[in-house]
Amino acid sequence: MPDLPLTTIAKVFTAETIYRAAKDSAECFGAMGVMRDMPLQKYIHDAMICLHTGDGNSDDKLRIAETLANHRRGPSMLAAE
Amino acid sequence: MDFSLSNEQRSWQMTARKFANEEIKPITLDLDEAPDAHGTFDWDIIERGSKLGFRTLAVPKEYGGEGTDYVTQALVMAELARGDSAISKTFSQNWKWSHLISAACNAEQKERFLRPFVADHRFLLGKGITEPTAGSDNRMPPKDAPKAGLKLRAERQGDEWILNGEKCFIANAPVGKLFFIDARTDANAPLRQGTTMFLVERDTPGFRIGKVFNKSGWRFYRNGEMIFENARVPHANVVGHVNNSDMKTAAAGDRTGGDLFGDLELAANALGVCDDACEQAMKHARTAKQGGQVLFEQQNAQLKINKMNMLTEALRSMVMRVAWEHDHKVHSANAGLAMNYSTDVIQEVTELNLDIHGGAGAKVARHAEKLVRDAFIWSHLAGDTVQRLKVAARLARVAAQH
Repeated sequence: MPDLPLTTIAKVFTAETIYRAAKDSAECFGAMGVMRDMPLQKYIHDAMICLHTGDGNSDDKLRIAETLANHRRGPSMLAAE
Repeated sequence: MDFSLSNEQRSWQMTARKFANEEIKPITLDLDEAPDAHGTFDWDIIERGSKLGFRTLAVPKEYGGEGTDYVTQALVMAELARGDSAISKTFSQNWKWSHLISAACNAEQKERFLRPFVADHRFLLGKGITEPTAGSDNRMPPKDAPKAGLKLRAERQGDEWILNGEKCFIANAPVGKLFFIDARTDANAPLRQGTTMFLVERDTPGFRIGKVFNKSGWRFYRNGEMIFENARVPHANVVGHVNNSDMKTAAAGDRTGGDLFGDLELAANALGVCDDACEQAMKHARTAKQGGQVLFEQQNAQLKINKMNMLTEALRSMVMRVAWEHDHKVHSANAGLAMNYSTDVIQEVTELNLDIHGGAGAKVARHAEKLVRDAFIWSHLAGDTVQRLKVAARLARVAAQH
């Protein structure tokens, strides 16, 4: 078993979970889920920031795969590099 | 199946595309960023669009409208939504209720309401169904319970009806001049047997607009409260029969005012937003540089662009098929399925577009971020569980007929 990049894995997983949970809960509130004077739309916005913070989830997934394969890329190419 | 467009359909599509590019796109991001709900609207764009026919697209030619078919309507909605989803919806909301006037109103009402609607570029239509304690539950169990569903009361006094109660989230309420209002006229009967539909004019005594809702997406589109305090509506404004508001039932015949158009409308609007997102994503991926090469060189970006276009083209096929079926009076659950599907598609496509813009500065990502907020509106009007159950019930009805 290689050393798992657990921090990155946890970040990707929680960001996706937060986003899904925020969207589902906003749906439960019907139209109030998009009103600016209600917190739900803010939770969705915050969850979206979690998805895109740092390298963003899709770049993080690439990093996880690279770490597992013990792969070293040449020149930097990701947004945060 | 031949989906090639007629010259007339193509011409409407091009007119809408030009209007979206030249008139809508330059103003949409600034209107979206207006902090309060009153600053997000612009009468000027409505007037200019109306002069091109976008407000009266679904009014029959005999009443001075454009009398277009469903395919044209789908094309125009998508093109306008490519500029701004909510501006497209503000126009098409009028088509929805023009369909209803044509299908459900008597000759005298059509003369009295369609003519002034066509003549005035600032005449917008709406319909009040939802209330603070009733909306989606109209379609959910227990459907035969007299206490379920909307509460707004109408009581007859001579030649008038006295309306008391409240509606909320009503589209075009703050800007409309004429509204269809569903009201309970028999409190002891279940919703379908105890409700009557009225035409209520903006300046009806006892009727006023309350709060205007400040939404996170679709900011141009106005949703407001309606308050009825002994509002007096003439009996001549009753649509159809008293205690029979449901214009969508099979018994009422082939009415197209409600779900038939409404479902197609949301799917076609979503298609325009997806087109916009795909265009933005490709443009950004081909120009932005990361690590010394254009973003598009990354397989990661290519896969996202592939998925965005795949979903968008699948949605286009479905939207155009449903529009074509409506024109040929082939009605099924397909419109509802397209609406549900459009929710999944518009959200995934706009989220992928934001993903592609992930490395871009806040200014470039501003457009992508707006599309995600607009797309989230679908969650509560096109793809929520109530809307999906409703379509499942429709599928079961179709199955029972065979």
